Amino acid sequence: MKIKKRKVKLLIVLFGICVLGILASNPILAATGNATVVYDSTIKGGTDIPSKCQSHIKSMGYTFNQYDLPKHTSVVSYMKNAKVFVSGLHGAPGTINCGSNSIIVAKGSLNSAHALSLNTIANGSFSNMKIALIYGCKTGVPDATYGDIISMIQSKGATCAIGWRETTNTSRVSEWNRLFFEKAKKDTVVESIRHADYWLLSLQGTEAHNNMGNRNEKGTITHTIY
Amino acid sequence: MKVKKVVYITIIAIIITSIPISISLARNVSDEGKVLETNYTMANLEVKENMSGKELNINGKKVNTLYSYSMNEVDIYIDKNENEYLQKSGVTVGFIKAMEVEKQIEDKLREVEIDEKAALEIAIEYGKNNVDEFEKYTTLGVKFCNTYNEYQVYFNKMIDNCLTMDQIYITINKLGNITSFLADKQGMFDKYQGINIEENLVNERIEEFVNNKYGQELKKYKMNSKTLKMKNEKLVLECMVEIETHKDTNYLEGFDYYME
Repeated sequence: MKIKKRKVKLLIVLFGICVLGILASNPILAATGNATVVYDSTIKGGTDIPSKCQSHIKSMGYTFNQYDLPKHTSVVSYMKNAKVFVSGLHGAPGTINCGSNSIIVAKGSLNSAHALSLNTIANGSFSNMKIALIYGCKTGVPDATYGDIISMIQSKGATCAIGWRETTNTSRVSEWNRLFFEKAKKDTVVESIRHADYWLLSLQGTEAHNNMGNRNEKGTITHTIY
Repeated sequence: MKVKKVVYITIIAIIITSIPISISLARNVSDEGKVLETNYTMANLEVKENMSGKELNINGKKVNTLYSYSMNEVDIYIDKNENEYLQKSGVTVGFIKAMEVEKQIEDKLREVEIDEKAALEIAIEYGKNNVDEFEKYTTLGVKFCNTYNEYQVYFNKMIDNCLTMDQIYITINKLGNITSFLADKQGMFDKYQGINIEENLVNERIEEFVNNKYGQELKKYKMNSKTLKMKNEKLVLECMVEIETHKDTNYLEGFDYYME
């Protein structure tokens, strides 16, 4: 009887090891932690940004969170807790426009109910972040007063941060974003960017491809996020 | 007399009933001059059943591939190195090769490196050999993409100086190897060659639309780009307009001008 019990235990342990082995060798579902998308439902097609990438992000194993037009302080707190962060909020050079007319900027010493400078938060605050995609208009353009938001996110610990140097269009953004995560499930960040660029050209044309190809990229892009 | 009356009444009745019918028919047939907010065709991604692997001939080399997925009318096959091949009606209309490991590229770069001019020449040569009527395409330009260290070369079969979706895209790495190619809409707009785009009329209609939509909020706007596309089997001029409001918010909005 004892020998039988031992055999059963041994079989259970072996089965467990096999399952763990399979999971470890499979990139899908290997990731843990938060992937957060902030968006603005008042923009036409704004909800497409989270909805079209959700399944790809979840399939990597992340806990998927989405927030509609949160305040600047909430956005920064989501950023601190996210391994993957996507902003579909409006933007301007050096600025992310958040809910309740609040803004996040890179440079300066702003820390009020209306504005927050990322410069004022602790170094290493975004050290868990594998990627930040900041899609708003001209978020990739540094501003003389507000600084370079993309460089600042990276300097606060993110492995990589990407912003766009031009006025962006939600349909292009949601499609590029979907294509990016479709590939990022099983490939590097750089391959995923290349995949998104290529297919956006096929789907929406040369102008869309050039518009979304005009980026400010900071940090390394040869890593994976799964 | 009675017969005449009957004939007149019948003719009048036919005319009266035919007016609304012809108007509604005309509406169904033509949307010419209409402006609508851009209705984007999203990627129709599907995995077809009963599709098997294929041996493809890519630039004279045989490549064994497996069926992966389909997007719109294009079937995508993948080989053991994760290179993707686009097939449309049995013809290879594109491919995207997996990037080489960075270290390998760096090692090779020490040996040889091509410039922009050479990249363009390679792309033109490739286009001549792999695209029908390549001479009808306009070279839009070549630029270097720092993200993935490749030259990107663009060609377009333009109509009346306007971009169309009939485009060719070729990327070349610094070693001179073609790393991706896309020409999946060859000939799609050929029947429209020779049409005239009435710029002034289009601009007027767009201005009307933008003013109606934004009203007092509108500070200024400018036309960003125009591309001829097919939407619901109709020729549409997609106009991207950059809008600035009095709240200093910028938008890039799409408006479709129906050409037929």
